[in-house]
Amino acid sequence: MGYSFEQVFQAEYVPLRAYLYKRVGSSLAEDLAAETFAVAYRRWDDLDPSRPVRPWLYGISANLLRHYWRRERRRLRGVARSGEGPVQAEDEASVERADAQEQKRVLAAALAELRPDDREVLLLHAWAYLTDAEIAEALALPSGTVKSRLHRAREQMENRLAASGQVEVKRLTPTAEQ
Amino acid sequence: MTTDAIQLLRDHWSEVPKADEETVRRAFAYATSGTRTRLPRPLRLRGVPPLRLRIALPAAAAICAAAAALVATGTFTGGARQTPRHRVLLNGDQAVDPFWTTYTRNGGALSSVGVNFSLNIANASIQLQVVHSDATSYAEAYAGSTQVVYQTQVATTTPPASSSALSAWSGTLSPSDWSGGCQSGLYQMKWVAVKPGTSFANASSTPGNLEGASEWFSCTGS
Repeated sequence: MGYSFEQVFQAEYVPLRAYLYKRVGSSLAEDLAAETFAVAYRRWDDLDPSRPVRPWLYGISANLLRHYWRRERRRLRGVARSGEGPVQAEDEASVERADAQEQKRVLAAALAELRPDDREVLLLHAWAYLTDAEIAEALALPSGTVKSRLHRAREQMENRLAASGQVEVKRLTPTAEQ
Repeated sequence: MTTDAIQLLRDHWSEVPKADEETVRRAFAYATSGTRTRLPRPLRLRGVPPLRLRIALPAAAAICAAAAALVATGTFTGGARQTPRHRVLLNGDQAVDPFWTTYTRNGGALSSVGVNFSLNIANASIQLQVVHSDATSYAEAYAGSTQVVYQTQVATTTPPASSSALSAWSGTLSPSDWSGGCQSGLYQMKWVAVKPGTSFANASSTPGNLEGASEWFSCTGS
């Protein structure tokens, strides 16, 4: 094998923790990141050296995250509900901050409404920067299933954003998605 | 404004507090403690205390000391002008901190790397290399081929009596000295420290020598 567990830990702990932080928040992210590497350490000898390690790691974390899907949805709904009300100040910076805050609320609400399987694929792509092929590897899914879930999730997000009037989203056609 | 939903997700969830050194060390110690045989149920659902409490166990604490030399700290690509100390020990028996680096960046581009050795080998000699990989991800870089773009050999000095180390060396590397200058892709520093009378080629087969490497880092900051 071209890399050791220590090297993979060194390279991947920080980005994995960051990904999990976005999914479930600070303290749980640290637990799940550590647990992901604990599982990886136990299964290290099972890792096929010809396969990339990153999808394998995120696949482990995805299995751990499944237990927290409800919690994640509650968290997203919390973000969607949060806010400081209408902005009173009229300066440009305040308005921009308010717009950004509203946009994040819409995004969080849309994420919360996604099917958990679709959300998993979308966020592996958006926040973990995994490709379609890597997501398929991580979740042990056919490539076509990943593409269709990702397309459905993006479409749902974009519909929600468009309905909110927050942004005019750049819609991707099914052809472009392939 | 026309925006991609994926990009919006990245933009709005871009802020992540950096993991502190202690957290990384604990995570490594926990992962490699090997005290569990399987993961029965989610930790929180079982009411298991948070990681920070569980790994306070003496066994894990002992592993922490060894792990201190293995884990990296701070960010890997370095957005700030200077990053905290990084260290990793791949082979050898020194417990802590034989090697650390400080990256200085100017507008994202790497301008210099401060390199420090603190060794438990008296009168050690050090061979330091900078290698380059065309890979864009750490995993690919570890698995792929690399090219040596800089190499130097230095003699250590004896540190002050107050230091626990037997020999030390500090210096600064500049990307402009590397073959090809500052390229895209990833870089890594590799080093070997040997006892007097030992060749670098035989370092790994000779007890008491040390070898290691830095984390991968980008030069361009992109």
